[in-house]
Amino acid sequence: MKRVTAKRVLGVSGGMLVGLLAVAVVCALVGSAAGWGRSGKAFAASAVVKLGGGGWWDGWADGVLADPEMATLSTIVFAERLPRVLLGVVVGAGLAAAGVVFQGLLRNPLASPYILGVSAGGALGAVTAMRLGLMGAFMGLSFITGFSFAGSLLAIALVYWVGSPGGRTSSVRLILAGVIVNAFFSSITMFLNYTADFTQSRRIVTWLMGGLYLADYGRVWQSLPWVAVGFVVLWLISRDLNVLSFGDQAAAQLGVSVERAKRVAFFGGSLVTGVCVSVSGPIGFVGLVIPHMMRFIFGPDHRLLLPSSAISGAAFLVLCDTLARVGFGAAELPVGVITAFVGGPFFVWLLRRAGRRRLAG
Amino acid sequence: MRDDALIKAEGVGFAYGEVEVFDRIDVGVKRGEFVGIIGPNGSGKTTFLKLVSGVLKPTRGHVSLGGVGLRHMSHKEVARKAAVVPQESQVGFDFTVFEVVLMGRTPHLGFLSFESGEDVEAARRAMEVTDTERFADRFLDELSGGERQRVIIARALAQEPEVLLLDEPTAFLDIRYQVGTYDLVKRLNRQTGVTVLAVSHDVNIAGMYCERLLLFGKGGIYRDGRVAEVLTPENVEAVYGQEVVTAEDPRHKVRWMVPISKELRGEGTGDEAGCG
Repeated sequence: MKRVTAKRVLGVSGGMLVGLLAVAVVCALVGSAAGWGRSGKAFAASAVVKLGGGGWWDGWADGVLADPEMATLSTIVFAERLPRVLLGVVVGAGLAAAGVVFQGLLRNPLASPYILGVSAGGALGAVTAMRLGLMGAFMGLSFITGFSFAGSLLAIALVYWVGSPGGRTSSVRLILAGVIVNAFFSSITMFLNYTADFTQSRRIVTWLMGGLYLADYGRVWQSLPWVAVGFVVLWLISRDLNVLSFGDQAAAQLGVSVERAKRVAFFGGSLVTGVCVSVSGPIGFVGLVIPHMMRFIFGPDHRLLLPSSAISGAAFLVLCDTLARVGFGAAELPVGVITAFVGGPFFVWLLRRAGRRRLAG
Repeated sequence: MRDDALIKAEGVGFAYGEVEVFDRIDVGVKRGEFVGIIGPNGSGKTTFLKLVSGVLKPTRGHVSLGGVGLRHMSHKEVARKAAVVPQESQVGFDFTVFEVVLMGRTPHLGFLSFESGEDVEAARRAMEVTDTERFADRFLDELSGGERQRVIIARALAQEPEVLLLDEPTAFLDIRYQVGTYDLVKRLNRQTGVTVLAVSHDVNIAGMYCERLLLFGKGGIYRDGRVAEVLTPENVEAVYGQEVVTAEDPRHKVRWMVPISKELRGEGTGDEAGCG
């Protein structure tokens, strides 16, 4: 009669965070021409300098970075790799968390963060910016990111307006509204792409596949606070999501404020998704399958499912992105190609192995 | 109107949009009573139960639980007083029986809090009385309909309610589980004094277990009283529009009522479409 306790949630999350940290460091260093040892040394030395130091190791770090080759390596790791890894963490965590919440809200195992039209709105916004030739940034916010987020907000508002007649959120209507908004926005996006010139079209198609190749610290700081706050808000309704799996009416009769919980789930999940799409395009598979994998391992209690999915979604996306970056020689693949290619077989293995029993508890 | 009523409906009317279900229900249920609601399809039995559990709001009049008007209570406050056992329960994910019963503690948990040892103890007690402990680690949909219904009763008991609201809890069960389920509820009613309000399609089951029956007819309650007063062929025929006969077995102290088919008696119109 195992159950989810605060201690278990903290223990599992803590352990998984340590794993994520290791994955992040390894992925930031991997694929450097200078090799592991030298990259690691450069990374360690600049980490000491950046963290302020205050001991004998300061001298060591200064010595290491005095070497121009090491200084270059350090710049590569900190300016190129690290923001990309950090953005992978934010987007992977956000998409997996949104996937958990949408599957719970809609009581539909096929739900992904994109089922309610958010990504189609985000894509339309981004593609509009690209067609208008707005490639720069305004006050540090890239036009593509800003337009994409605006498009997501438009889709969220539309879906809620159609899916919640009289303020009562209905799962079936939300899904229908999502399908329609997806189709409608996608058709405009396709039109904009079709009528674009070759260079623009190439850029649009690449963006639509989703990827972390645009990563920089600006995008990390623009997305991290939203996703972090969104995650906390969504975790607050995680127990309500458990009870909601018996249906709205039974949940109300068990004392859940059903409308409040559903509204928080819808807007929280949608906003987190919109933010992720705006900085990385619509990266598939993470938000659909990571929640299922974690259910196989830890069971369906959302209080544990949400943090475990967010952390493993982050690690998974960072790993896939590293593979996309270094696995295929000089040509970099869109990470969306890798997520399903790597994750699919792993999911099948887990599905066969777990059956309906939980692997952990 | 009884003033010591635990459940009280005063001048309650309800309509789904333009379609009125009933226009005036006045009824009180005292603490510890075992009351059945019977009546034909569409007479509003289940609707009335939903008004008492607060998931529907009356279009007229008001309902109170333990002297407090439902309009002043949150779902959480209602769920601490009244627990519902529905006809059937579908759960979207693979929660174990223990986790399902523990969810009955929801109305007692504060914002952000996890179940305490006390909550676990309450769930364990509920599983003990309902004899569902041996299913604790199994999934709800691995169980038979009757076992599943016992788990849902355990979840309702974990709420530690004053009232159990049963909405045709045995509609999908075979006769053994029908009797088993009502035996369990009756025992709880006798031992713990929990008040029971049960909707039933089966007039015989309702007649066996309830002390008092509310016979719903068109627009409201047609009869309210002791079983023997309410469950007469005249009343049943008037409300259901179906001829019935009664019989009894003095040895087992049971009385039952069965419908009479005109077709089988040879008074049919010859129109085959009447089947089913």
